[in-house]
Amino acid sequence: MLKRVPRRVAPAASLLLALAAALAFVPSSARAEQLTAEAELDRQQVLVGEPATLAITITAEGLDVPAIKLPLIAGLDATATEQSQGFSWMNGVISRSVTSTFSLRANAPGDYVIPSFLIRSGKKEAKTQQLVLHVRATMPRQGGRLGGEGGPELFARLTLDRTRVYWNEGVTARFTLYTRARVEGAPAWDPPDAPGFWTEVLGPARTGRIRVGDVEYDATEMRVEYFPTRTGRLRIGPGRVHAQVVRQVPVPDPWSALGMPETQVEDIELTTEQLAVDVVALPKGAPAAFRGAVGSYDLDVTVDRAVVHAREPVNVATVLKGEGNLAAASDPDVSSTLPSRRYAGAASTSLQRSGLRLKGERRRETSFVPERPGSFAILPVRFSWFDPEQGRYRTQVSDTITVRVLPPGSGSGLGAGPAAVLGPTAPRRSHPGAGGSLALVPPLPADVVAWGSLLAYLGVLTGLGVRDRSLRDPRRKRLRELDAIARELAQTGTATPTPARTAVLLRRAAEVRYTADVEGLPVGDAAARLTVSGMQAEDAARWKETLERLEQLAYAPPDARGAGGAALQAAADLVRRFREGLA
Amino acid sequence: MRSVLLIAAATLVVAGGAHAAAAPPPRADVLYNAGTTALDRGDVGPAVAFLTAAARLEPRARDIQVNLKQATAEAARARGVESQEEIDVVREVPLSTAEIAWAGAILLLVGAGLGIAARVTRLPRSLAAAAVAVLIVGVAIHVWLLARAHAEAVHPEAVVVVRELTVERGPDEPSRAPVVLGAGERVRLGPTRGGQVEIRVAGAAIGWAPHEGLWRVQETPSYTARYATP
Repeated sequence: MLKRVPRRVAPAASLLLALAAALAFVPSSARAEQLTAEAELDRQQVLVGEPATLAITITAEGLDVPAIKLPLIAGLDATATEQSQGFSWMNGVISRSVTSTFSLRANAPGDYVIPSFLIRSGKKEAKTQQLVLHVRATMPRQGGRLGGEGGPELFARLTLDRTRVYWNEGVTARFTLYTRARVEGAPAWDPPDAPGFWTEVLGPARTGRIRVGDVEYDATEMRVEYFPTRTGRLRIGPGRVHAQVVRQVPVPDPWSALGMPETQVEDIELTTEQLAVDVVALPKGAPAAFRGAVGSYDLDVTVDRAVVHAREPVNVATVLKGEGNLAAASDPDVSSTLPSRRYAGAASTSLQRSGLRLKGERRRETSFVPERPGSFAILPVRFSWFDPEQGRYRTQVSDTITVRVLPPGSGSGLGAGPAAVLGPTAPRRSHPGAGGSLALVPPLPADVVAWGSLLAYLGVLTGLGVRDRSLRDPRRKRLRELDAIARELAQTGTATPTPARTAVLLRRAAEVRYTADVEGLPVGDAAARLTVSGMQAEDAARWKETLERLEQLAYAPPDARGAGGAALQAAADLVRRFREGLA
Repeated sequence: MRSVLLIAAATLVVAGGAHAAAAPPPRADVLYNAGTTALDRGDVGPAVAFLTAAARLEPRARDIQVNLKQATAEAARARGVESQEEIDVVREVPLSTAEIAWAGAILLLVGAGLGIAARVTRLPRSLAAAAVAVLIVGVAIHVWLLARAHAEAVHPEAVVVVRELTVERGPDEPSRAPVVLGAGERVRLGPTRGGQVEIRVAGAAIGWAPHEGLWRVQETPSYTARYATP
C-alpha cells in the first residue's frame, strides 16, 4: 500500500479551514434560533385575469434562510416576480430576511384558498397563514343603481406600490376611479385617511383609458406618497371620491320633447378599500451625521467666493437633491476653522410632484463673517441618510474649501502697477541653470532603475521560493536519492561498491521507489512487502534473486567474488528501472 | 542575472536616447530671467508663473526664491494685502522632481541589492529588515511622485496673469456672485468647455473663467520670448 505523504497546507487554505471550523462550531442557536414566515396579498379581491401580488417573507436568525417554493394552487397561475433580501446584526445576532413576491392570476371567478405552507430550517419550522383571494367576473356594484351589462359603471380602487417599508420611506398610493358612465366635471377626491403618515399629493389627477378584465373604463387617478412617521402596521384609506354622473331617465310620454331622452345629474360618493402597510424600524448602527433622512440623496456644497475682505460674508450653500421626504430631512451642519460670526439662513425646499415619486431640492445658506485677514477653511460637510433600496446607511462628505480673507475695504485697488519696493530683487543670471521637465513626471531612467530594481527583487524572491518548494517536493527528493544510488553503483575500479554495500543500496533503492520500510526484513518478507506496495511480481522476483546473490557474495571468499559482476550489473539495472518508474 | 542586467542597461540607453532626442527641456535660468524681467515691468502674474516654473527645476536656488517671494508679495499687495505676515508663500519640497526620483531609485536599488544578498547569502536578520524598510521607502517615494504627476496631469497648476479674472458658475450650476481672482494667484485647472476652463481652489471647483487669463506653469517656457532679457 502506498504511504500518503503529508502535504503542506497553504496559508489561504488554512484560513478557509479555520473559518469553516469556526462556522461549524457556531452554536445552532445562532443559525436558526427563530424562524418566522409571513404571507400577504396586496388585495383581497380582483377581477378575472387581473393580477394580485403575493409577498412571502421569511425571517431567520442566522445565515440559513430556506428557499421559498410556492406550492401549486389549483386554478391560479403563479409567477415569481422578484426577491429581496435584508441583513441585520443586532447584539451579536445575525438576522436575515428574504421576501419573494409572486404574481397570481385566475382565469375563472371563485374564491381561491392559498394554503398555509411549512418552511423548515434545520429543526425549526414556521408556517404561513392561510389566505383567500376572491376573484370576480365583475366588480361589486358601487354607486347606487349604476350597474350595467359586463360590470359596474363606476368603481374606485386603491393600490400601493409596496406594503412593507422602512420608517420614513415613501409608499406611493394610487386612488383610481373607473367609470363607464358619463361624468360631469372632474371627480373630487377627499384627502384619504392615513394616520401615522406624512402625506404628499403627487400632482393633479391623471386621466386615461384602462382595460379591467374585458371592459374598458375611463380612469381618473390621484397619486399620493405617504411617509410613515412611526413603525408597526399602519393603514391607508379608505379614499372617497365624489362625482356627478349623468344618467338617462325613462321618458313617461314617448311623444313629449320629440322623444329625446331626458338626463339627470346624480351626485355619488364612492369609497376604496383600506390597505395595510407594515413599517419596520431602521437598522441599528446609524452614523453620527444621520438625522432621519430616508431615500436617495446627493449633497452639493458651494461657497460663493474664495477671496473675501474681512467683515464681509462668505455664503456656503448646502443643496440636497434626490427622492424622499425632503421636507423632513434635516440640513447638514456647516462649520469653519475660524471663530467667526455665523448666520444660518432659512431652508428652502422645492418639490417636483409630477413624477412617480416625490423628488426635490432642499437648499440652505449659511453665512460666515471673518473678522480679520488671513485664511480659513470651510470644514467638510457630512450628510448621512438611509438608502432603503440598498438597505444600508450612506454618507457623503464634501471637500474642505479654503477662503482667503483680505484686509477690510482694500478690494478696489487691484491694479498691477510698478513693483513696490519690498527689498532688493535678485539680479538676472548669466550662467546656465538646470534643465528638466515641468510636468512633475519622474525622469524615465530613474523610473527604470527604481521599478527594475523592485522587479528584480521580486523576481529573485519568486525564483528562490520556487526552488525551495522544489527542494521540499518528496517525489523530487526520492528521485535525487535514486540518482545518488545509481551513481554509486556505476563507479568502477577501486570505488566499485562491494557486494555487501550493493545489497544495502539495492534495499534502499526499493524502499525509496515504493516508500516501503524493508530494512532488516528477510529477503522473502521484504519482497512480499514491496509487492504489496506496488512492485510488480517480476521485478520483485528479480530483486529478491539479485539480493540473495549479493548477500551470498558478501560472505563468499574473496577469490570467489569475481563472479559477482553479473549481480552488480543486475542491481544497477534494477535501480535504473526504479528511477525510470518514479520519473 | 547577466541577461537581466543587460536588458536594464539597454533600457537605460534607449530611454536616455529618447530623452536626448526630444525637444530641449526648459532651463531654469531662462525662466528665472523672464520672471525677473516681468517683475521689473510690474507684470506680477507672469512673474509668479515664470518663477514658479523655475523653482520646479531649481527649488533651492536662492535668487529664484528671493524673486518668487518678491513677486508673490507684490501680487498680494496688488490684491489688497498690506501686512507682510498675511502673504501666503507656498512652501515647496526643496528638491526637484528628478532629484526626488533618483533618490527613490537609489533607495530601491540599494534595498533590492541588500534584500537579494540577504536571501542568497543569509545575511543577518537586521540587515534583511533594513533592506525591506529601504525598499518600502523607495516605493513610497515613487508612488507619491506618480500621484503628484497624475494630479498635475489632471488638474495642472496655473497662475492668473491678468489683473482681474472673473470666475463664474456654469450655466447648469446654481447662480451666485462671481469670484474675482487677482494677478499672481495660483489655482488648479479642471476640464475646459469652449473658451472656459474650470477653476479649482483647495481641491474644490469654484467656477469657470476664460483660459486666456491663465498660464499653466508647465507651458510658461513658451511665453519667455515676450520677456527676453533686455
